[in-house]
Amino acid sequence: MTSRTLLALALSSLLACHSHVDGTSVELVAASVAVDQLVDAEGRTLEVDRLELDLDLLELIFCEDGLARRMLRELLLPGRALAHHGSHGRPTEFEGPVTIDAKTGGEAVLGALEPPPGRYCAAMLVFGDARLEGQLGEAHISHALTLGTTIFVALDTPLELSSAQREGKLALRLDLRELLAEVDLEAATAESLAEALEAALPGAITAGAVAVEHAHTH
Amino acid sequence: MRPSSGALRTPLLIALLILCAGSKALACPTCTVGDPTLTTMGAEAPYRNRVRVSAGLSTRGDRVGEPGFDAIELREQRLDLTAAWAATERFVLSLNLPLAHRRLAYADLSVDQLVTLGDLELRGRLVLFRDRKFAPKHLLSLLAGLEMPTAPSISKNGQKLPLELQAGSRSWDPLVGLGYDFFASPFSLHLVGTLRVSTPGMDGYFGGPSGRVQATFQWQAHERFGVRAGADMRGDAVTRGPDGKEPDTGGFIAFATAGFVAALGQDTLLNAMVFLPAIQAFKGDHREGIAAMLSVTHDF
Repeated sequence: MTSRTLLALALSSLLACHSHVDGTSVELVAASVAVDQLVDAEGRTLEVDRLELDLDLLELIFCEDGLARRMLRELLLPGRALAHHGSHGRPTEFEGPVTIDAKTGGEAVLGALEPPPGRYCAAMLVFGDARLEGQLGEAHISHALTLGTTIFVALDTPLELSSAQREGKLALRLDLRELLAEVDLEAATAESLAEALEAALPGAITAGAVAVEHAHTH
Repeated sequence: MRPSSGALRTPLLIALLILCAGSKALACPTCTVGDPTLTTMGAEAPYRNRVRVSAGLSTRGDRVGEPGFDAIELREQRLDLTAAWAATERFVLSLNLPLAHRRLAYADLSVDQLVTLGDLELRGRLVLFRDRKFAPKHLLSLLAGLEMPTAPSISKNGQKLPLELQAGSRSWDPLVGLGYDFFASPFSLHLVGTLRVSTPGMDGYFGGPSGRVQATFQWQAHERFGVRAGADMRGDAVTRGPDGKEPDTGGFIAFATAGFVAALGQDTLLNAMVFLPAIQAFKGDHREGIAAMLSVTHDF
């Protein structure tokens, strides 16, 4: 082996030197109750073929970061909220859209966040589009809805992340079985259905956090 | 993560040329220029075939982002290997090869440590004016250089880190400047102003122009030892990324500098400096910390 090869190998190994220590990580999951049927305000039953919600944004909110303080910060530092801080996004925000399939139900992984350590007590959810299809008697109903609604959900168990507790899991629990309880399906337009969904969603969603022990270096 | 061999070939040839020229160089640099001032790299009075090499260790800190939320803290230890050759009495060619150990600590508690090449810099210095050939008191020089994109791109989870935290700009960056040196033993003054203009980078980022002014006063209390003090100021324009202006980029910083230079022998100098951030007027959440540098320069 020539000295030139040895030098090249030494330089390559030097430049390849890299180590990484994992940080915090929160897995986001949606746990929804399967919805096969929806009953409207008139007692009519919709056999659901498709019920999907697009989650456009989820933001974790610090316990000490009250809504008023948070809104003030967004007002004072609007650039930060929009600019996603350089080439990396806001670490407490998960950007979608990801689709939650409420017809099938069950637990589905939405994604993951790497937020800074702290205690999180709430989540802000922004839903975008929704799709509802089904059979109402002899009639086939199909609606593509635009929601754009924002919901604040208090976590029933705060999510705590620290150097000793780096991983966590946040579950959004959806029960949409009462989604159409205030709607007359035969008379409903896309707009009124969207309004009904926006009104029903806050009562249909809860959230809970579970921290898990896991940390490693590689 | 590694530069291509093509990008390294030309600078390596230049480095070889400089070192080969060293075999013809004269000894006793202060005797040859007729001035006892201990001059650091770049501040010397050139004479034909003067060859200098230096190895400089430095450390610095940088923080971009909101602490406790999305801040990224950089701690860098850097080794600069520099070779300079005076091709004529008026023209000096130098090449700087930086190697850096970088520790990046993120707000999510993750930490990356890596050793990388920085951007190679080729620089020419042309003496425009010297009041006399032997033992000049005044030297005015024109500087021109080129930073080459030899540093790798650093990412986290597939997203590029801000340009401020990269090991190099990932672009071909020409620079121009003026230097002025005043020698009146035991005092000397070294003034340098440079303007670096970035070209569009390989990762879609376009660093704005960056201007830097360094002023260093030296009092050589002893023939083998001098103390130094001054200022190092830098103004950066805002970086533009694929989505427009990058937050937390651009602004101004001024360091107060202090240090010493000591002769370790007839041809070898030790130079140490600390850089204390005195004024920081960066845009957004961006802070730089104390920096320090220790270098050894040898004349062949």
